Amino acid sequence: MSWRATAAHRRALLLAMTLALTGALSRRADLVVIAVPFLAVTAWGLATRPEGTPQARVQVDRQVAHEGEVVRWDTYVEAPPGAEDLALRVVAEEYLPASKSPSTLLSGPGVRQTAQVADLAMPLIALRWGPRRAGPGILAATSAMGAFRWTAQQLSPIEIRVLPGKAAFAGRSTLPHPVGVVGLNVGARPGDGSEFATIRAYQPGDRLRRIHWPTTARTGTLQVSTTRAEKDSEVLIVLDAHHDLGHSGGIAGAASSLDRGVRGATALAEHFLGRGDRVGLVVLGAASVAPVPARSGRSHLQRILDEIAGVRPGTSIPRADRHVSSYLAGRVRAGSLVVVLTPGISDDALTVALALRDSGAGMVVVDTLPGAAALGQLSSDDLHAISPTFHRRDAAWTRVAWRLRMLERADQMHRLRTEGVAVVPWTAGGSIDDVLRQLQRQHRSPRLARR
Amino acid sequence: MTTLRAWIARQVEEDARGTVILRGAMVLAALAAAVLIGLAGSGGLLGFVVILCLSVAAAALPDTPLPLTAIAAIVLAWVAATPDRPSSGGMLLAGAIAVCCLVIHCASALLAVLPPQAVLPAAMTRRWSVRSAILVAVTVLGSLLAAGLAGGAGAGNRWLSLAAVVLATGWALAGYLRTVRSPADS
Repeated sequence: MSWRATAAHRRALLLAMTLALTGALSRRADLVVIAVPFLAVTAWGLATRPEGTPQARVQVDRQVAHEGEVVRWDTYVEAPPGAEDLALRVVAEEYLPASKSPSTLLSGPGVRQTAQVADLAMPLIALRWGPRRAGPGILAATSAMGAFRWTAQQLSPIEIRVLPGKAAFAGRSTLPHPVGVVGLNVGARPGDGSEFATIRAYQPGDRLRRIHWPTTARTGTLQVSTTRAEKDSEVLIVLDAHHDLGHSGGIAGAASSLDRGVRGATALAEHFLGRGDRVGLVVLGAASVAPVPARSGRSHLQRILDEIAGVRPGTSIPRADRHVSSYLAGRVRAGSLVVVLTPGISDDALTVALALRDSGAGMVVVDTLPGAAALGQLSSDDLHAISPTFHRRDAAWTRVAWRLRMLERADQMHRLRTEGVAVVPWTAGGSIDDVLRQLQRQHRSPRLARR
Repeated sequence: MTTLRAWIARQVEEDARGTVILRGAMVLAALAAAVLIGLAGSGGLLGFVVILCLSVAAAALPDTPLPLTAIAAIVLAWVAATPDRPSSGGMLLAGAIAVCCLVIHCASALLAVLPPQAVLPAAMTRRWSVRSAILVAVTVLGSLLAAGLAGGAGAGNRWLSLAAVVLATGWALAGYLRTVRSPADS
């Protein structure tokens, strides 16, 4: 692209020519007087016309960001002399908008006689998890008096992966069936730990610091206090991504069902990994998200976040879902905890929950359906999400159909509860604490075994 | 009507403060020109209204031919209001009209430079203000010179007019060629 005359320059030139010639021909000096400023503007614009072509390159300060973080889009422009003003407009997508204005203007980079590199910074704010695209951008340079303009080819967009932010979750209950080696969950057997178990007679091998002196003094024989062993446990998080219901307003706005599921899964993974447990992840209904085997450690959290950030709802094929089901059947062990985060719309997710219940694992179903959707308060966007072929004239029928589906869903949830699966709504802080306590009580209480 | 009101409200809301001031300056300059034309001769109400409407439209769409139309309307109104060759005082009024037209031109040129919703940098405002002031000074000097010559021997001289035509034609031709030819072509 070359420098092109702007409408302002053409206007000044036209007025200068017309008024000066008309004034001279008609012997009207007043028209020449009116032409004077336009002659001067035209002369100024022509005298300072830039000669070189600006060179632009784009980069972002990070390609992986968390929700709520700012991604800085930098456009470095080598501005030739005469390119006085640089204007940038970034066409950002809905969930990666500019934090202030999508346009920015840098004044005076090419005023000097030598070319220099100017930096046009545009802060973009990551509002929602998932793969996002920063840009494209449009760059323009203008010469003195706005006479000539240079417009670049569209600046290429840059792919950015936005990792989900954490929902506030601070569970204090330990897991019911710790079966690992080292962790923070109180096990059923005695061992090294901090949870008091009982006081018994001293045996060779007991540590001296375990001697319980008040009881020893009372009974006359050496007594020691014992503790329960603390072990790690395996937690499998199953995220239902068959549907994304409700409107997502980003991190500060309303949360869709998948927002709640994704942020809940992130919070649970971070919570349990922080306690030393092993956490695995399985996503239902989303292609290209492979099951993540249960591991422990901070680096494993990063892997889980990476996988969750790539979730595209409703993209899986039935064959892939069968593969996931068979994976679950082979991997879930008795004693582990399975947390299924689902809006309860897809039959597949509920079927998986019922199947896993029989494997002997502790099972919690977390209901992620937004309250408004559950109550049938649906906007046109929501209706579109539910029914892709939705038309405005069918809105009333779609709402009726949705209410019927909600009744059916309530029945399915009730069936899950009667089958012994705990179903809780996702309410962030300590959502599943009560359920974990219930599972611990169930674990300690006598029960019938199936023969 | 509600839609138009909502559209205007949205435009004003999206505009940065500096942009609103520039648009206002365009309308005020056109109003001042209309008042000056009224002082110079028998400027009718119709002309006043036309200039006002065109200036508002030009302020709303500065990167279109509308500013040219508004300036042309002012010049035509001036010519219509002063059919005879103006006196020294008339030259000063023409200078004031030229300043008003210059304000409309510079404000619309600056608005066309700005991308939508951009904040006008202070350095840019300062630079454009200084340059506009220089152009105003040149215009005032030109009008003073014309006012001085209005009653002199040079007024109405055929050879002076011919020289002015040749100069203006040469200037226009040079300007046109430099405008349409890119540096790579030359």
